[in-house]
Amino acid sequence: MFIPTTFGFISSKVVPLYAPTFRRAILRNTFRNTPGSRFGALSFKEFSCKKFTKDHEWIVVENNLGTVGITDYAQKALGDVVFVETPEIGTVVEQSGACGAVESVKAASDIYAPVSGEIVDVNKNLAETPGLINKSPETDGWLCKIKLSNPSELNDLLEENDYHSHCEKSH
Amino acid sequence: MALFNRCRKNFQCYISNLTDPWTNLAVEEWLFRHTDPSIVLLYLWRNAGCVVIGRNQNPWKECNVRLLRNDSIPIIRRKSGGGTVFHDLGNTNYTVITPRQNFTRKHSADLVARAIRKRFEIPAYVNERHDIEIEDLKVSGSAFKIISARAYHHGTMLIDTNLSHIGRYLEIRKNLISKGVESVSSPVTRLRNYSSTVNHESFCDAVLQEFSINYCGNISNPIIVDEELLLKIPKTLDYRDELKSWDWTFGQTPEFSIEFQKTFSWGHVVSLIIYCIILKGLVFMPKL
Repeated sequence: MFIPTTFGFISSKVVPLYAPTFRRAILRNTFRNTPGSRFGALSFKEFSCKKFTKDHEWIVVENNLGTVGITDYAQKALGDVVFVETPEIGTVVEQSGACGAVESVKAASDIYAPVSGEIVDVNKNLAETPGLINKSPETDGWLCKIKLSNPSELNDLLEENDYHSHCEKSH
Repeated sequence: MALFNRCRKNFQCYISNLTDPWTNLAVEEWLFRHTDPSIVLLYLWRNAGCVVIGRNQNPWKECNVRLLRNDSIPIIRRKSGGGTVFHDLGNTNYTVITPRQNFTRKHSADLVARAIRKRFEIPAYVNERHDIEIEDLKVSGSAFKIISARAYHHGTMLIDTNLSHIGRYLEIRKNLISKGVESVSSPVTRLRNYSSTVNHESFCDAVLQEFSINYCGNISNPIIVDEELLLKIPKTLDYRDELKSWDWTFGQTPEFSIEFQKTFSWGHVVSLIIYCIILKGLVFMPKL
């Protein structure tokens, strides 16, 4: 694909200086293996990204660790959440495999893992306050954290705009 | 799959002539997860005497476990949410399985209520909790389950149930505090109190007719679920084994605590709270 610039179009084979991948490469080479540098031992922090599934889960990935929850669209459809079944820490899940469930006044609904990996943490606040999922579905109401075993699976998921289009078509 | 040779429409009905509760629930699970998600299914079934609790409920809170054991009445934990119900052969269950995007809580209950009104001239209606009532008394409760491609609504229908058993076996224990879901009790009645012609067979026929007309425009022939059919769907045995296991029935109970209080003659009240977590067995942790 061609990338537009102030001077016209350039081939995507020539990566502009502002491109994220180019910045990461410069920074990596500046700090890695620099003798005497106090930053020498630092590992580079990958950009976090938020992706969505067609089944209305979201995932934010940072340092290969994904935080997972259900979307605002899903919590509205479910109604008041009365119980959350979180997966067990240590469980290995596959992409699209069940990783918990939510019971609301309307229905019991399975939750599916957006990516494969190991469950390393669960939101213990949901046991006492399941309504967190209704109040803050995409922040404080997170369900679990997954250590990704196959980060390329993120490419299968939807960007935010595509997810919102998907929700509109479902109506 | 051979089972669908007769189905050229978007609707199919199954009627079970089995009364084992674990088998009927296992068949429901199989229909839900292993059939064409684009087809609407109606499944009609009834169980021999049992108590069925919701997915996230506490059996010790919701029913008299010891009495049920003494009377040889099993407790079954179902996969959908909601509260605890008593089943016997006077209660008929209906399950409506639809594509997920078509899921509503009202539509199926409306069809069942309409079937009762038309066939038996009983003034049944759907209330705001999506229960079916007659003159402010409940005859049917519902629960719902959603997965990736599908959803189901299943409900009970008290046709000729021994209502005294409900009060006898379903007894909420007040000193047990559960993190799970609690039942909401309602006064009940049964269809037989309003019609002498209603029974399991006529109810099933009325509901099938109403659903058939709604989804296909004509009467659909049901597939009968019997032992012969079970041999063709061995996966139901796996579901049945899971439903029958202690790990599922009791082991899935959310954390709970039990409070004991004693008042002594000299006036002090001593309270003992025992926290219970089930991890591969029952674990008690007393805390004063």
